[in-house]
Amino acid sequence: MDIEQKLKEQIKENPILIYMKGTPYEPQCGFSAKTVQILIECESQFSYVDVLANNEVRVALPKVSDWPTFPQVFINGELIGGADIISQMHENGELKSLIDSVES
Amino acid sequence: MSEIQDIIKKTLIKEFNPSILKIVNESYMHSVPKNAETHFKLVIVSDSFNNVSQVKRHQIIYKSLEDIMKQIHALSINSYDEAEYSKNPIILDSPNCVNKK
Repeated sequence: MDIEQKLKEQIKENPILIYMKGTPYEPQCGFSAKTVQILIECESQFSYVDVLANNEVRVALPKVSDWPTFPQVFINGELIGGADIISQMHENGELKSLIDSVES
Repeated sequence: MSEIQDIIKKTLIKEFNPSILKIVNESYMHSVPKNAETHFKLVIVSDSFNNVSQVKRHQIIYKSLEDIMKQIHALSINSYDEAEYSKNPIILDSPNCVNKK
């Protein structure tokens, strides 16, 4: 299976998934730090991939998702957005509703 | 010295004919050389975003700036259509880089 196919599978298999720079414990970029913090605040059970430790993913994912930057958050197999959109959805409550609907 | 900022501005005006366009160079907030052009924040208001989802808006903006995106680290996007903007938008602050010394 090529890397793009693997990523598609990974996105499908993990209901809440963040591709980020660094880890939730040690984020390596302010945008990744902010985004993962929001996922934690929403009490979500999420999976993560550190793209700095997986350069193949860092190169291939933007082609799969049509999104050139990190972090990228996927919920129910769909790209929800990066730091800006996640922050906006957190402020207006949409994110929490979406996350709760996944986990209920 | 704001070559990249100029290209971003010209491209977005051409592609989206925005009524409001603010481009802020936030590179100083990050661990990069002085006068660097690596991190930008964008506020763009345009009727070309009517009935277009946030994800799709970001994607078409990134697409229009494809060559520039290869040269910069971050582009924070706040996009609105006219109706949304008139309802008092929230302009979010971009986070500081955690590695900034």
